Amino acid sequence: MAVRSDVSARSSQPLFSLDQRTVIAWVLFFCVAFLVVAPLIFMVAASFRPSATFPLERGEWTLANYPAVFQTSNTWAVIRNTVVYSFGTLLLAVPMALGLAFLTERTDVPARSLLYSMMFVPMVTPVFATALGWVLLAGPRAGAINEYIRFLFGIESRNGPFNIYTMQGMIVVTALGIVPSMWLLLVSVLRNMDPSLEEAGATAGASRWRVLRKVTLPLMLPGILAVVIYFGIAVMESFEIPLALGVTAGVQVLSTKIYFIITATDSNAFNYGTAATFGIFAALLGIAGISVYLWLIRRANKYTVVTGKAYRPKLVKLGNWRYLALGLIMLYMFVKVIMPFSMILYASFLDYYVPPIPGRFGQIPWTLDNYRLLFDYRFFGRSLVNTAIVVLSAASITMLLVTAVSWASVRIKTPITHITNTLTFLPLAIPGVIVTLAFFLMFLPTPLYGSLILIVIAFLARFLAYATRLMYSAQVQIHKELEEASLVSGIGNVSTLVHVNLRLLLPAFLNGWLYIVTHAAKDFTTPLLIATSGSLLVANVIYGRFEGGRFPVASAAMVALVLILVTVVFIGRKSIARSMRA
Amino acid sequence: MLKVENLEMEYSTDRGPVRAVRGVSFEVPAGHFFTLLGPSGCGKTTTMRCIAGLETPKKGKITIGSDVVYDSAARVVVPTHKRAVGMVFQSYAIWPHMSVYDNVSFPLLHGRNKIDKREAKERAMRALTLVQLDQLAQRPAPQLSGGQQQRVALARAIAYEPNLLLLDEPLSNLDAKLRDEMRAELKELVGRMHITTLYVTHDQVEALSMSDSVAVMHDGLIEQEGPPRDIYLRPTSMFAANFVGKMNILTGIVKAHEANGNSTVETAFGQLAVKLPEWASRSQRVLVVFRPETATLRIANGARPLGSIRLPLIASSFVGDSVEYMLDAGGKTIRVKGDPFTQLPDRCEVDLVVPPERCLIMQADQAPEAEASSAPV
Ligand SMILES: Nc1ncnc2c1ncn2[C@@H]1O[C@H](COP(=O)(O)OP(=O)(O)O)[C@@H](O)[C@H]1O
Ligand SMILES: [Mg+2]
Repeated sequence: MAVRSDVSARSSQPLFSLDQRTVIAWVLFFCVAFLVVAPLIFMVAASFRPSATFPLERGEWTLANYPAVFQTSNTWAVIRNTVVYSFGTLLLAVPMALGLAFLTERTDVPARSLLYSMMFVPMVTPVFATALGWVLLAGPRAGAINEYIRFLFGIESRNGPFNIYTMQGMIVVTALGIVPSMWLLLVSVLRNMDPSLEEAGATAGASRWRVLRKVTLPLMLPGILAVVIYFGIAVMESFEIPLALGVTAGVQVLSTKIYFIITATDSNAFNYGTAATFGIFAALLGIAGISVYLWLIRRANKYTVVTGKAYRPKLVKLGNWRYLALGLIMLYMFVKVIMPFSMILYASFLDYYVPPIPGRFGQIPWTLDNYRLLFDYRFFGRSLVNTAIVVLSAASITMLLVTAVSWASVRIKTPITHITNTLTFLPLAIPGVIVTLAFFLMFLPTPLYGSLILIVIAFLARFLAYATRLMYSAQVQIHKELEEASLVSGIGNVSTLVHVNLRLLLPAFLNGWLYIVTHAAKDFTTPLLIATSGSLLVANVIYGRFEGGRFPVASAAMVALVLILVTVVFIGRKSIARSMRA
Repeated sequence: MLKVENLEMEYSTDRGPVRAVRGVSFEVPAGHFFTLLGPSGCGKTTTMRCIAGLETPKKGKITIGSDVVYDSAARVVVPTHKRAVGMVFQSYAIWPHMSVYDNVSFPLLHGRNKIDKREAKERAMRALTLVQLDQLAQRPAPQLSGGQQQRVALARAIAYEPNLLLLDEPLSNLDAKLRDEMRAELKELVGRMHITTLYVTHDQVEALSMSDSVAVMHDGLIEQEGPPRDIYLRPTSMFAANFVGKMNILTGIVKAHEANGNSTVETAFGQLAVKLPEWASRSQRVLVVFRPETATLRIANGARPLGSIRLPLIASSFVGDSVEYMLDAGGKTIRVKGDPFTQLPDRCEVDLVVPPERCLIMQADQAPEAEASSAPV
């Protein structure tokens, strides 16, 4: 019944009068333009202002920031670091994700459905938690792995052999972190390919591996490349691990460079112009990358299954190798989830950090104080409440806005709704750090700076693209005659929207809402950039202790955050499943 | 009851405006079953959607009962939900998140004239009983077959007792056997309720068998309007003649035009006795148009009888209830339906006679279209 409606033609629609629809279209346009275009204008303006001026203040304009960016001592080092960091991460993560996707999707590896649900655990845990866990494991002095190796081999040195505070360390931790999301996208690339193309190859007498090499791979290549480029951009612009590990390592990348410019505390460093200029370069990189990505996606979609049937191609029989395959997957889960989390959990019960190695068990300073501290409202409770307020409002407002935007662009179809819909994709090209930086520049001179509202607005802009994509495709699936049938039978505009349209969109709405709640709550980028002492979130509290070397307190807070997130996701998914059944 | 005057509707598309309806007028008296019949894309659905208020026309006036619901001159546009019509969509548009019962009772509870739960239940169940779905009231809508969905859509449209029922090709998504059954059932149901009905279809059998009145639409215009018998037996345009059943066309020149009916038209194959309309005059080129089932054939034997034409029989096919003969009229095919019990031999000459009153005479300037549409389909 939910047949795809004809989207190629424009026509007048019955829901709301013509004038009302025009008003709706313009209101939505201004909301989206405010979230997407305005901050960019501020950033561009800021890049042409001398130091110690605000973007739109009166006063002189200058071009000096652009050459200055390339004259500062470490710019080239920053660019080199960013490139090495991105490529290194992809080099490590792509084979892992591709291998996992192939094993879980196209082979008869044991316990497949269990693996699928297990992969969502690393997805809802903060990137920062993995970083924290690996600092405890492979910190050069007291990292548990290092201590063990030194103990077992009787090495005298007080350092190494591993050091997580290096470029290699950053690459390994980042790669482990992006594998689950990458796996998810690759699985859909594998799944959406029309299996009849492959079968045609097999029917023509080609061997299994030949078909894989000559048919399957070339067909999937655009899809895979698109995923790789998408994550390439994501890593290039990522902030959390470069901050957690790169600072100590002395490895600065674009995002951390920007962060240090705008958070610099020495009085004369009030120079947002340079930060904005860096931001513009990063945004251009992102836009270029996303263009390639979109181009590849269009090519990849040519070969996808259009029936929508969940067709499963024949699985590759692995024989006894299946257990090895399962072992490899488990190894990944162990390295990504179990090892870092057991360390965080362990550390959260300590007074001060002591690695758990033989011979020192007696000296372990067990305590519950860290958790007691979490019940101190001024320390943790307030930030938890702030986080809840921010993520719940951000998720609800974003979803309401994008529902309206998608409805308008599917049903109203004027040039203005088309532009609005296109604008929502812009944040996809512009990384979180830059979006946040732009809002920082825009609101710095206003009273909103330092309030939770600003953080909510920044999250709105960051999740706009993802949420719009989700809601747009859900809306397209709803035949417009379902709404019309309601109007014809005498039900008014608002009732029709609520009882028919919104009700049918509910599963997609809740999915998007849950996605934003969890992804905003585990995000460290936006709060670290724009929260102030009056608007601290849990992320700020954790990073503050981490930076101060107080790992046990940071760990306890992290444990609390992860537990809350996992519970929310668990309950959320259950109720979404229930709403789908109803 | 329903009055549509000079209705015009344009869609704006990326490739410029599409004139879907180009000036349509018709009137449906209360209690009548009126059908818009025409090929796909001729503007039937658009006309219906304008009446329901789902599209805003460019020009014209629409009156339902005593209410003007659209008038371009007076700038009146009544929104859809205030128009008191019931509509069955071609896709049925059953709300998939509701049960059968909820689909039918939802408009009663939330619609224009909200009624209380108890009464709504009574009316919804009455409508469901009418379409024989009372047993399935609690079933979730997605678990229905095509025929059942169609009935739910109908029950939903009639439960709140609208003044006007709009049906957009309600049978076209059903398989052939079910379609035949539902056709009779629908006609009977609507007749029993005395509800004014506007029906849209591209199927001539549906149109002719169900309607009090049929309007043949072509390219955004109504070509002919009248009772089903007139539409079939006295088409006034070549398009109507060809769209509603098969037609044979011969060109000729008026030979004699007599008041007593002894008129003849000279064709390339002989003279045909016909009944001429007023406008025809001697020596005028005209078209002689007749349906395959009106002509009779006899094996040519000696002199050609008066008022008949002689043609070679090139092929025949036995289809059970009749035999279809194909005659060659100078490169054009003439089709004739014959009695299945007597089969004429292939490749012989036959004499063809049509009763004069069953021949239609049309002006020859319609010829180009006649050529185009008389090609074997
Ligand atoms: N939403 C639309 N946008 C643009 N053109 C349309 C739209 N709907 C219908 N048309 C065009 O209008 C004409 C009439 O369509 P329609 O009323 O649906 O015909 P019918 O119901 O008789 O098949 C067709 O040429 C069709 O292509
Ligand atoms: Mg139609």
